[in-house]
Amino acid sequence: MANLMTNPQTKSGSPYRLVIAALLPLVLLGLMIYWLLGNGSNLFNTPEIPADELSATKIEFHPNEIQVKLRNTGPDELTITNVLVNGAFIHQYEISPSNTLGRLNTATITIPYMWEEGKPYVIGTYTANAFIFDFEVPAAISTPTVSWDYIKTFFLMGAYVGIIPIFLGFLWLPILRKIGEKSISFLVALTVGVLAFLGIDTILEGLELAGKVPSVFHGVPLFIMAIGIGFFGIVGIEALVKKGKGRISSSGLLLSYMIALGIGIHNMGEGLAIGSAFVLGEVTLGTLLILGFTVHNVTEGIAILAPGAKQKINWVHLILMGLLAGVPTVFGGMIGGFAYSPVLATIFFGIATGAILQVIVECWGLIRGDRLATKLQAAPNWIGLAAGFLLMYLTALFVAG
Amino acid sequence: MKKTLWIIAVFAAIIAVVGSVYFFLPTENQQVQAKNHSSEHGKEHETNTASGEMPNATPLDPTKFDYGKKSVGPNGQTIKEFEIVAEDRMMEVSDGVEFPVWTYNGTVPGPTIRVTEGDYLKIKFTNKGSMPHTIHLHGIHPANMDGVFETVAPGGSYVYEFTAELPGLYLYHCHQDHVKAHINQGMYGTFIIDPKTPRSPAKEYVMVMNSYDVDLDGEGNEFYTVNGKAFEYMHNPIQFKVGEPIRIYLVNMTEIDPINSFHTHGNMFNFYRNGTKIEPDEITDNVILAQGQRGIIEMTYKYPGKYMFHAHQSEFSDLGWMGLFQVTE
Repeated sequence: MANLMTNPQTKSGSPYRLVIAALLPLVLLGLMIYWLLGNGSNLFNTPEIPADELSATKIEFHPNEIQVKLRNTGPDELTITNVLVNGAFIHQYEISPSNTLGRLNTATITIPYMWEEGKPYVIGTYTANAFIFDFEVPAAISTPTVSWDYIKTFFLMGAYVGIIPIFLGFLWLPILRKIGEKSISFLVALTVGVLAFLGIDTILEGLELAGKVPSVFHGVPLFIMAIGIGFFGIVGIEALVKKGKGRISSSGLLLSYMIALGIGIHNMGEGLAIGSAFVLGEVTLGTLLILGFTVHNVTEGIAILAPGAKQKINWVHLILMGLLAGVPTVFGGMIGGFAYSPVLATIFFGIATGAILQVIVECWGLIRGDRLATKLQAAPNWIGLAAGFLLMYLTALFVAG
Repeated sequence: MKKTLWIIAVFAAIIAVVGSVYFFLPTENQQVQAKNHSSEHGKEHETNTASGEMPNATPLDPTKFDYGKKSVGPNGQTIKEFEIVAEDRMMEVSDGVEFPVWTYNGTVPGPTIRVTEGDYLKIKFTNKGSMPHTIHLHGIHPANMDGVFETVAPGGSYVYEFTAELPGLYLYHCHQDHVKAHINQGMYGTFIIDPKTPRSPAKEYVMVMNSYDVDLDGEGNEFYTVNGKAFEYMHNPIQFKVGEPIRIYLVNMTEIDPINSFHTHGNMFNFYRNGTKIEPDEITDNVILAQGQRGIIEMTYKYPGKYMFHAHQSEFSDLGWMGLFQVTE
């Protein structure tokens, strides 16, 4: 208060009045809520229609035990009364902390069950209002607990999907240099093509994930908000780096770094998707799947270097950029594998989309020409754009499933 | 200088790629670990994922009866001893379609247990499968011989013993939770108690009507068979002669669908429900049975030729429950 009084900026009237003005609506709102929940509850005299909604946040398979983590995502409190596995009632199970869940509360059902690896399971739960909620697992797989074996698996997955292909792409630098001497805008357009494909892919995947988010958490708005964070986040980081006037503030190299960052965030999402799908039993980490991603992601290495190909790039920068773009896949895989949630995944994919969009805008600015139409009419530009897109499309064919 | 750097980089990449092929074996390692893990829990089985390594189950031979090991007890009562082992197997449910099953003695349906009224049965059941199982026999016996609450864990065993009473056609199946999964995976068989005065001589067959929900979605069956393999008797017709008396022990163990049926072409048959009475309950060419219901069919063919027999639900017959009698002069 003392601070407020001495604050020279509060010119109009007493500070107390300001505080009262700020609090008054809140107090009145509170009183109204109090009344509506109490005496005023039959205000509209409508019959109470139950509308339970239950979401599974995670289904875990441990030796001879299935654990289901649930959240009440409906408008009211609900009570779980029965549990079924594959359409048969379970007579012995435990719910902690309680079988009555308040709004947005969570509970864990522990079911002793001799499940079999690779078989499909449907966990059903009845609520006291006779709603049934089925949670499907296409193929049961032992849930990884944080252990050295799984860390190694996810690290290898990340290395194959993210790190190795990017460095393989980097090996084309001498060829990129040759092309760059003649037409740098072809290369930049190629990068835009690659990024555009990644962007579309990320948006589609993000929207799909957003659809899986319980409605109470508003998946699509969350996704769009995250796009904004990703977009302006990159703008902010770039501004900071430029301000720092370090060695990488030169435009071509900086852009390469930004592309690497954008792709890195995308790869984190990719790792997250693979890691979670693996844990949910939707994919097996087969050699074919990994190989597909590896081939697909070699193009990312080219995309990072293309805009800066004309300049000399120190090999230290090459390694840093490669790691920046590739290593997040490893972390994505671990987050997806150990701590998956659709809400988290939606946010990740949103941020990745925003980052990629921002980098596309940046790249496009690098291509000379005043208006979009004239830019597109230039042969190197549209050929590059098409080539980048086609490259991604063709390599995506290798990604099975 | 720059050139050497590139050469080093290329080499590093090649090593990384070659190393990758070698290095990416951990998925297999995990499978091995999973196996070791399960054997620690006293299960001597191969995991389902390693389906190739599992031995194959065979369909039931309709003319094979297990009469048990005969001996005489101290009070003069005839003792019949049986050994039944539960095992995980891979079953070719239709040409080329494999489905992991749980079996009694390696066949689906399980062996046909056949005794005479008044015999004392000793059925030693050993569970070498991955799941807990039981043998629940239909008929008259004490509660602790009913195979419901006496769960036989993997590696465990149990002896079911009782005196066979009331001659007739019975069946047995696993009664472990959840029963429907155990039925779908093949754990059932036929149990015959012959009357002391034997039934009239005839060519005898066992036919167990069953079904498989191979995608395990619980919503419907993909295959219907008699004795375990779809269309088996279309490929290998059952052969007998004109005028030869035929007796079929018919049992229905179809899961999910409420009923199944048995229909003969070109003939009518005597049907003895449960085989517990001397007089036939009906003379028909089509009987409907719910799961667990059974009956004895007796008939004789008048004319030679090929005759179909099948479920009179055409959906079932199209999905495998269809066969042929080849009647010769």
